[in-house]
Amino acid sequence: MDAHQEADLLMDSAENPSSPTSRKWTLTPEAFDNLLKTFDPNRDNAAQKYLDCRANLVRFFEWRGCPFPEDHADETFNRVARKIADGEEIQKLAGYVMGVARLLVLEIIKSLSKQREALGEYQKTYDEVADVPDTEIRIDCLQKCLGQLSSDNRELIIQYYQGDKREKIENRRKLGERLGVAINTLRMRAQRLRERLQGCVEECVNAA
Amino acid sequence: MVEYPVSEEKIVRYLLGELSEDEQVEIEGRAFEDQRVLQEILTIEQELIDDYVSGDIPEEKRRAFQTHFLASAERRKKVAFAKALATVVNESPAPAVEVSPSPSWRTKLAAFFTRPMIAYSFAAASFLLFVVGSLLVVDRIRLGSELAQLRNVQESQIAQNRQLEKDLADERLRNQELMANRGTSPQETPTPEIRRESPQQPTTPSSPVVVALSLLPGISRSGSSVPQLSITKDVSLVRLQVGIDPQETYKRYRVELRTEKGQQVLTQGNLTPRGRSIPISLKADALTKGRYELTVKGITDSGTIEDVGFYYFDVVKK
Repeated sequence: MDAHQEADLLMDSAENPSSPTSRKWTLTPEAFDNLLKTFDPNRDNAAQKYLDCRANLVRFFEWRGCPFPEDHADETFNRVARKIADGEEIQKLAGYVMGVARLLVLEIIKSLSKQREALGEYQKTYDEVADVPDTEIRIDCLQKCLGQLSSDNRELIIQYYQGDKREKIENRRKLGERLGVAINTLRMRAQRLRERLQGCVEECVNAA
Repeated sequence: MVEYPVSEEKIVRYLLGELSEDEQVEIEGRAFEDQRVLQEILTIEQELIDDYVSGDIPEEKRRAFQTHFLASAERRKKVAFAKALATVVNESPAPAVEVSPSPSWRTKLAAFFTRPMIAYSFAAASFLLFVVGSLLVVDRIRLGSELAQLRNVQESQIAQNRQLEKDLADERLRNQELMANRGTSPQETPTPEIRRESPQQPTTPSSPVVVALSLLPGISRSGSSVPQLSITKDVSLVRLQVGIDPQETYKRYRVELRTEKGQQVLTQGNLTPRGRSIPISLKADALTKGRYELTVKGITDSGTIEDVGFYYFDVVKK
């Protein structure tokens, strides 16, 4: 079973596990508009709140070890939009959305364990290189993306991650001193740079 | 001040799926309410990935990593990226270390000047030159400033004299016209006296008393380096000048001011920096005695909001 088939199966079983024959509800533009309105009457504010909430949902499903965080986040919004369309009045939307997401996590975990039982697996071990095989391409892309950074940022990222454990700590201390920033600020800056760099690498790998 | 409420060890256990449901819910609640906790989790997540890649992770954690952490494709991509990063970074030469293969004439010349006696003599001469030069520069700046002031005074006096002459000429003309209408010779009437009156100052409402504080990046929340803002009873407005690190390139910023207990005092978005700082004004009565945390966030062109830094200051009411 490939990843997409697995995702479809999960979403179908998570859609309404108690009645698998029930008709699948789809998100209409009108229902999505009503969902946005519940976030905020102002459309721009609503869009921003929706995006923030979605980013949190994706993180939540990822943290909980769910296989398809983006799809699960969208499924959560579908369920909330359906409740709104059914006339449910929601006072605190962010909290409500998280509640729905928690229920969905339980369903996903249940469904995953059923699948494992059926396949006779005790616990699935994931292999990080199984579906991310482009090691050489990734390295080439990373070098290209590093070349696009400013020299200061490139030096920062190299010095921040260079060396083994002890050497790394010392490098970071020196780097913080040289830039005149606290270690925590340096950590955050390195983290942001790394995220930006990873985004660039993924784009480059997909284009390759 | 409330410290990060979740320990690093607990966050690692959370990320590896080792906590109870209640504990997980608690961490998630905090992460989505407090940007610092979210940031901390994301940073620890990256560090955990790096430890896995470098093999610095105990066996039981490694197993949890492979069965729970790697469940999503996105995370597997993060691990692949971390491996590539480790390869590239460790193949890169260490920054700031340069070795030239053979000494050039420049190197030899530099070596000559670095011989102790020569170096001390040059250092002393350079220092003397620097001191004399600095004094001359300071003196020149002072003279330049005085000259500019004198020029300003002179120019304003010339302008004043011109105005007086013009007023006098106008008065004379008007007087001549009046005399002509009355049939009197202008010579019979005395020249009107022109009195210079200082212009009456317009009455303005009393200006608000403002107190200002500059906040610099990189100041830790603990220790004695936290700046203090003294607010007396007559102060009505507080101006904060928040310094931004030169490396930050955001065009717009968002700031959030919170009390020690996390109560939000102020939120301002779409702030444009002036030079390397962001000016913020708020009413003095919005601040009570205690420690405050100011969070600065950068707004990217795509509208994403990213943490830039945290600033701390103490308010003292007098």
